[in-house]
Amino acid sequence: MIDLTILQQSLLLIFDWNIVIACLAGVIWGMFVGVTPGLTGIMAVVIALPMTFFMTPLTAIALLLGIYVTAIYGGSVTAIMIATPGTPNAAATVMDGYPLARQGRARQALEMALYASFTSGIVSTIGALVIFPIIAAIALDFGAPEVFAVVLFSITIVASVSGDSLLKGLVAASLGFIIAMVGQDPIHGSSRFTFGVHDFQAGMHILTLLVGLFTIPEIIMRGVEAFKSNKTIVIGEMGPRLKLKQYLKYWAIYLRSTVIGSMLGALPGLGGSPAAFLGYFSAQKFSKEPEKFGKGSLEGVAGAEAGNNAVCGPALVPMMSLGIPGDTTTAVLMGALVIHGLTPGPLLYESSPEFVYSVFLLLFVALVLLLIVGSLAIRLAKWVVRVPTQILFPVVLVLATYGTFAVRGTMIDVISMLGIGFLGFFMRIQKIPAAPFAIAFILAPIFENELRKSLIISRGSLEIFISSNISIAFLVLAVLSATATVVFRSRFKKFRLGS
Amino acid sequence: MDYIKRISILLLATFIAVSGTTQSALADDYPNRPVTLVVASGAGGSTDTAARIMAINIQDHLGQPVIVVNKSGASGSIGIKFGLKADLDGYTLMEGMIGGHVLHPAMNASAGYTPEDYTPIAMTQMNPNVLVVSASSDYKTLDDLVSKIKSEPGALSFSHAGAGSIHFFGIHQLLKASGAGGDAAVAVPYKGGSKSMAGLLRGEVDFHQTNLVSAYDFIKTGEVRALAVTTKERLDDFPDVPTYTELGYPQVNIFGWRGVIGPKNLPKNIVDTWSKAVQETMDRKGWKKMVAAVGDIPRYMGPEEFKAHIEREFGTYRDLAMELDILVE
Repeated sequence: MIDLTILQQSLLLIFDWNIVIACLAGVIWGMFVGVTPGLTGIMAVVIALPMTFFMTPLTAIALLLGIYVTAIYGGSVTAIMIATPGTPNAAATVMDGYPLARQGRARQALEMALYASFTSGIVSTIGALVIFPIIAAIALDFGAPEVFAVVLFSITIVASVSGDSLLKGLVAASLGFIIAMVGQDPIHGSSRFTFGVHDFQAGMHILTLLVGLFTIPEIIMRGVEAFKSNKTIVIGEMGPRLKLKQYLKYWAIYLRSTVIGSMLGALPGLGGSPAAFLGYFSAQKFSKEPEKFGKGSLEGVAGAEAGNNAVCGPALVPMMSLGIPGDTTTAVLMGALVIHGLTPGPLLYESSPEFVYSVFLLLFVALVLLLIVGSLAIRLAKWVVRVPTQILFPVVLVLATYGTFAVRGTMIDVISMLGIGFLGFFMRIQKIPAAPFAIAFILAPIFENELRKSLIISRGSLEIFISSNISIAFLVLAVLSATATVVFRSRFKKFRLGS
Repeated sequence: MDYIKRISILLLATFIAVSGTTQSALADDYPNRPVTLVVASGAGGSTDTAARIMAINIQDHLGQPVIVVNKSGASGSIGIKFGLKADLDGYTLMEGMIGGHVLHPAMNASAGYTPEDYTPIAMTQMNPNVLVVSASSDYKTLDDLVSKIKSEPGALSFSHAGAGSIHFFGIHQLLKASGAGGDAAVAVPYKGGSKSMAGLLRGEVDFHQTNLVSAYDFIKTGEVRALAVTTKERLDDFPDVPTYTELGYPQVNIFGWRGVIGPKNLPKNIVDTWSKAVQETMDRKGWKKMVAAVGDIPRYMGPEEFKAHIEREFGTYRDLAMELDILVE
């Protein structure tokens, strides 16, 4: 499918030291941003954007791709070390990465995250390059009813692994749905559940929710622990390295997460966070030791990190082929190209395919540089485990508060974050799982929007959901998955609604 | 006693010194520190890009760096309200945009602000809008489309980037001008301009009106057919596409614009400093090249002309919203 002569031309285009250096600068900056809570990948790209106005187009895109790829990984470092997702993509990594660090196995968790990210990044980019026209065509085939069916299917997968009790999982998911409804109605623009507070109109930011849900309960728990104990609590060690055998053992997880991430990446509006969660849950579903998930499972880290990095390459396809960016970060990348007079779209692909290819090749360069810079960052992380809990977690609280504020610069986000934090703490005491809450919050707006949009398009007829093979296929999968959950639970685990 | 007196003198002296510096900062050497330009929409969008192009070019003419800050959400009203509350020292200004500054308050009676609440400083660029249908559709001319809309109200649908967006208002201008009425076509909302264009390409809707740059490629490749443009004159790139005015709908004249806007009662010296710097920036080759690349057309309006333009637009769109019953209370 790849035209090899064009590929050769594009290879020559990127053989330029300036381009590699720009990419390295992007990777270093992306790593810095990734590990700083509150600085999201999108902000990192935007801050660097004006610098690229005066570069050549390929140097510019090399810098930005370096940031894009690395910020997704960088978020997992803080997720593992201090239970704080540096970027929304890393939320699913907290669930197993952080328990591993508490057990003194931080090094394995960090290395697993890095190698899983790298592997899925490379595989998904090769995939994107090879079947570029197919993905481009499919991306356009996914309209409102099709995306709705995919989201519905995703929700059933999450429900099937929502902890010990189905009821508690449903409670958590409902909370996520309710919080996601706060803000402007997506169709009519009227206010919902804002209680007259204007700042609530923008809705809750995903990072506000994730920091509240994952970081604050941990701070409270560690605070209580520190008060009870008179000794200084230090983890002290990074633990052993990840062995090659351990890395190779999980090949099926990388593959599954890569497929999931690639699909979600190519679809408009989904992005990295759902990919990470779905990668995580699919790893749990097929695991031989699903009970270890949430308590420190390398498989969980692998599933989540392979999922979110698989998004990058495929997400570039609808942007480069149709000029339709899937998420905000690719929109900025597109903006950077537009400034240089290279508007991505069908015309660019026709007139200079070598340029389009070279953008994908730069992703490989960025991923290799990520591997190098990431390994160095892991060495620096050892300073974190040497800090006693009594000092570390007050610092984490400051970082979490600052990070939440920095995203949009409004105090309401900090207050909401603390509110969610106490709710999260209560949930933890009651053993209500946090993951269904987070994933419901992420998927609810897409679910609502695509459902209502489909019904507007069809003038209220439900037939639209069975009018294309794609949506029929995903709806059937959703029904099967939901049925399987109920049957499986009742037969093997004694179906319980309480626990 | 002596000691209290000494402290009060010290405090008084400090006060005089401080108030002296703020005064001079206001009057003579504005700006003497970096200026923040608030963008009320997300990073990476077209307004954001326009603001960053302005920011990086204007600093030589202002003598201070301009820092772009994004405060997005709620159709731009979060960022705009932030900008409206800024101090009158000229160190926090806004990137103006038709959507958040005019269309949102025109359609939302409870938006909490109108053009009365801000000071227009200068318009910098505009972009024409173009009406497109799928190339495989039966609508060869605007008349074909309008007569179908009128003969079968509710049969056709159009995509737009959210209630209150320029895509939404543009089509409503047409629905009103043609006498079809606000309900004659079904409005399907998408998240942003490029996704609403994708909705048309996918065949989910029948027509769509958007800024030229979003439709450019697809008109050139023949995937969509352009039926009309909102400019007075035909476009150089598409000489075959008629204008709405030629077709008998001069009322359909919406175009996107961007510029610089400050809070209400902004001192005149600041307005003048900025409008002059903007004018100088617009002469720069670099600025022109970047603006052309993003598909905008340079268009300068000074403070008075810009203010009059905004007030006229606001009146028109508020009336349109009331007449077509799309006003949100």
